[in-house]
Amino acid sequence: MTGRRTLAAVMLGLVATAPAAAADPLRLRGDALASTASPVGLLTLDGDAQATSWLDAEALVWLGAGAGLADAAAGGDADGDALVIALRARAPGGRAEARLGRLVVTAGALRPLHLDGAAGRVRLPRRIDVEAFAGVPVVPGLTDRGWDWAAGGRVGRRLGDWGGVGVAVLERRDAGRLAVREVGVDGAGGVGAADLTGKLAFDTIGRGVALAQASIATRRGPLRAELYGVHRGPAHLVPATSLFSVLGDVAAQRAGARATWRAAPRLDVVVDAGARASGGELGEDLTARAVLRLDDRGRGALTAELQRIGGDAAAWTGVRVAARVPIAGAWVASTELELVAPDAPDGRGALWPWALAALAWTRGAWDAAIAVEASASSEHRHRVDTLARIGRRWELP
Amino acid sequence: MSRRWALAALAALTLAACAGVLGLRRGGAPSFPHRAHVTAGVSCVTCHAGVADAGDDDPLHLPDDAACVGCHPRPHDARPCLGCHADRFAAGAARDARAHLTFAHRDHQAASSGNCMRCHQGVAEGDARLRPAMATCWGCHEHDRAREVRDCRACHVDLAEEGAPPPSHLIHDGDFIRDHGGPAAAAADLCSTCHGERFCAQCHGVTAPTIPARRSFADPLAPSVHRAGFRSRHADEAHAAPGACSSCHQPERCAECHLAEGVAGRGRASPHPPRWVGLTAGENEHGRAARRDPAACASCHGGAGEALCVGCHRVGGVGGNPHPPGWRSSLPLGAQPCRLCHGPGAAP
Repeated sequence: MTGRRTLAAVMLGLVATAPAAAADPLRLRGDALASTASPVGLLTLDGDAQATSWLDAEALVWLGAGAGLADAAAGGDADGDALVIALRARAPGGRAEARLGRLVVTAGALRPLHLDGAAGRVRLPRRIDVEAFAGVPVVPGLTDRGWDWAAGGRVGRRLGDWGGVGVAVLERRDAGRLAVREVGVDGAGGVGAADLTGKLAFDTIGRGVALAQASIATRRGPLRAELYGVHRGPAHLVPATSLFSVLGDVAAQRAGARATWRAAPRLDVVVDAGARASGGELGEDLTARAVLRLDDRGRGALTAELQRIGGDAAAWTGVRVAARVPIAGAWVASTELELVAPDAPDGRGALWPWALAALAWTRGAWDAAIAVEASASSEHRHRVDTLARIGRRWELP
Repeated sequence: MSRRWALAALAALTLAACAGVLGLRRGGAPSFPHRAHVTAGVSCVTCHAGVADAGDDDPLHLPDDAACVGCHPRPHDARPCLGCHADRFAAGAARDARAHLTFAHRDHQAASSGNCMRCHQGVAEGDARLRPAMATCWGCHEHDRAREVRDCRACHVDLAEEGAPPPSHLIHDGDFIRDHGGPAAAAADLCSTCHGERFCAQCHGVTAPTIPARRSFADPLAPSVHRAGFRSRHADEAHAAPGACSSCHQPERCAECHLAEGVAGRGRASPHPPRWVGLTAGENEHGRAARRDPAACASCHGGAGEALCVGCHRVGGVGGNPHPPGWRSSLPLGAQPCRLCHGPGAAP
């Protein structure tokens, strides 16, 4: 544990010493969270700075106590870690970019990865981009893992001001064993009045579609309508190194339509209706939500939501209402209530209520909040927790 | 008759209240009457004195009470004029623009021939449109190269700090949780003009200290997949959408949390129902469940726990072939996990 704290201190030191050559101010933010539920205590510090016009850095490190922190090693013994420590350098003119450190990489249709490594992008003529990354997959707790690495890349061509099409590859090894090898194609862009996105990832180990996703959306005045579909193959359930991957012929699909309507300047209505299927099991997937802003800036708002998830074994219906109301100056009160009724309680209780009442305060660089949370579920007949958070921002120099 | 009038008055009051609540009738302070001043022959620089020569670091040149009393010499009370006769947010918005944009009015005098309306086209429609839209800038400044390399710093000092909501075509107006993956993967460099590594890592980072909803517990309207009583229903949600969890979580996450919370591990009662494992087809519910949701099985029986499965399902064992019809894999039989069952000497 001492080593972790030392490393966290070193990280903080690196961030703190960065502004010596900073052209822009170093921005720091510290937050302390305390709760009677896990994590019982959490201190985060994040910062970013632009040292020169071509070099910037950012970091977020944390110290905490309580089970369930991060994807902790068995036993929940993580008490400090780094989420991000990244340097980003841009070539003059923006033709190339490199990132180094602990970062999240994405490549086209392939799953995002949290890596300790490097990633780069080069812009070639004819609006062609080449991206590549390599590194060691991040594991919690600052532990060593041998023979773990991931590498991949993407070649894409930009379309218009946003989006593009591309082909990507990814290979990941865990303890030297092949865990993921995928090839993906992706595309996103505007065609006429429609926004189109789509991606397809092919698992070359199991030789099947790992992920396919597509959507088309259009808007007319205050109305936005969208059709979407998602197919997830077994390769996205467990890695190829798991024995359970040999079971994999069960895919999950979801398809539906979504409409977002600004019914009035302060009132948004969202309806999402679809269906999902998995392993021969078919279920409905319905959401209806309304958001009413209490002022033109949306500082105060009310929302009500009804959700229905169907299926044979895991169906439930839920309703949620929430409010955020500015009460005076720097104070904002909020509350949230949720009631969930499972179709098959199976001894878990017929109704799972959950409620929270919070009070937040902001003044200058400071902000703070306290809350009381109460719930009843299959895990606890009834439970009441309190939460408190205080944060502060700094700009240096 | 009086009752009819009372009902009509009540209906009118209700409609007026609804119109106010829904924003159909704008409440609060009115916008500054720019149109009335222009039609009265008052030029812009009469009130905004000096703005034509203003550089990027010069004052905002918002008019004060002294500018008003030059023409309106008898104010009806002592309060600041713009406190009531303008949108109280307008000055703040102008200060935000000054802080986050590189812009000098004096550099635009020649191109606009001193005509403020050339850029401030919506000023007559209310204070909400004092700041010209970005499309107005692009009417003259093409910025093709800057757009190509995603370099917004020619005008925007710091987009991440500015927090300006992007135009609707940038995927923020749909179901962000579901939709962002496609465009973000195809144009990650565009996302990074506003969002740093921390934005992605707070969900996709395996060392995230807690879920974002926990850190923003005082804002119930913040988007999150783990809102409210997610903890109670997470098993049902995972079962209804196999694979969705692994978009952010590592496969080991289930087992680690279940062990840490004491719901799994040695000495715990089996959560499985009767007839979970047996010798006949009717007593073997575990096979169907495992095929339906292998991640759930792996959450307790992953790693060393796989030996439990191999005891029956190895080649030559009593458990039979767990592979589905048409099973394919490019892994050699000597690789993990194949060799657990197809070890040396076993039939292929």
